[in-house]
Amino acid sequence: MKKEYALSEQFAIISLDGLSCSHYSMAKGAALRGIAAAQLLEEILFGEKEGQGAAELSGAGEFQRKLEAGIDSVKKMDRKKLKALEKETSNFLLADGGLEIVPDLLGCDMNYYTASITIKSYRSDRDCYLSVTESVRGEILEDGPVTLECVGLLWLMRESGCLHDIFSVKEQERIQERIVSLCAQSSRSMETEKPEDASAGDREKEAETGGQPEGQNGAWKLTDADFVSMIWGQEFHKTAEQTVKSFLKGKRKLFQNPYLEGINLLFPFLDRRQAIFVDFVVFGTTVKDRRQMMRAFLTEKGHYVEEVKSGTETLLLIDNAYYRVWPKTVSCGRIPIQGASLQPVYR
Amino acid sequence: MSRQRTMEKILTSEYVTIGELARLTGCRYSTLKFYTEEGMLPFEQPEQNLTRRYRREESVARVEWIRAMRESGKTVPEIKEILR
Repeated sequence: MKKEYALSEQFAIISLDGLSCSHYSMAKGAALRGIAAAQLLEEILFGEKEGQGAAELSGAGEFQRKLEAGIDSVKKMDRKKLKALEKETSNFLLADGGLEIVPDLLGCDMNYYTASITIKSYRSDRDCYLSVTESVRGEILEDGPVTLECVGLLWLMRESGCLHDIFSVKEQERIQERIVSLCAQSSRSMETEKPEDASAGDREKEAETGGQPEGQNGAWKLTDADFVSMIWGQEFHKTAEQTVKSFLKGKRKLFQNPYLEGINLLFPFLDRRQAIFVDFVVFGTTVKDRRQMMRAFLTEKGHYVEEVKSGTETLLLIDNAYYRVWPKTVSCGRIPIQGASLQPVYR
Repeated sequence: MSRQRTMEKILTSEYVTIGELARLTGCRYSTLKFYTEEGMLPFEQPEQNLTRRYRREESVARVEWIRAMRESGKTVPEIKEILR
């Protein structure tokens, strides 16, 4: 990817992916609140709005006060303001090609498309999505320096509940470990005045010298530990969103259990948005045939579909999410209908 | 802690991190890590505690080459054999 995006745009690419563009949902509310918080970070840290960044703040206390006041206003944002923010962010990304509006995957379910129900959702450009997520993964999961954008994005993902979309349970534990170790590194400094082109070599040099906070002109420096602990301790989600998020997280955890992984195939109402049934003739077909039929159908409906090998099985990568294809028969009244269901792969 | 490097800066630097290599090549972090661990992607690590760094031009070319080989149907052990 050769495009450069600001922190709020990078977060929008991650969080708006797969969300309905015409209806408000708890998930979308949380994502939009995250975008507002990202804009706040840009303003405080990089001074992209008011022309002054953290370098011009007088100390950690002022940084924290600004951050807390901003987060309070993010928490209090009503639906009207969130909608305006969505319009502003999505319009920019749609025009720039970072985001597009496509038919929702749920609209491919037999019950929906036979009833001519069209649901539209956002889909992030695959290259942009991969570039943002893989860069964060590469930074936080590897030993070595971590950038401000990386910590900021992780915090936003945690608060808006999309951390588990990108990181597995084991990886989330690793993130927690790294955040704790970053908080403990009280001697290392974050040179907020340093321009964005600080090279890896500079960062290594900083590590070699022990990274003592040496300010230019005696300016105040925010240390890594200060920044990470201040930001990681802040929360901007709403209680209702948090409750729904916890419920969904619990449900997801339940589905991750190998014995309950396919429960949604038996009881689609448990996760209706992920229970997509497509009707076609299954009799006499092989696993490969069914996968290809599913792929052809979804591609025709406007989705990115790719076959991805995972060990001995082949998964379908549909719009940045992985699925398995299961043959299934549903009955409408007394008439059995053959087809296949999509089963999400929970990481 | 510094800011993320711009693409312009990355494209002019000699060394890149694995995250930056993922941005440059559009390859997944796990794939790059696998190639590194399999010895298919050379890296430098000046000292034990410092992060792994990759020579930008060579690494991007190597990833593109591996990708082309994979698309032509070669398996990872076959590619490793060619690299030896």
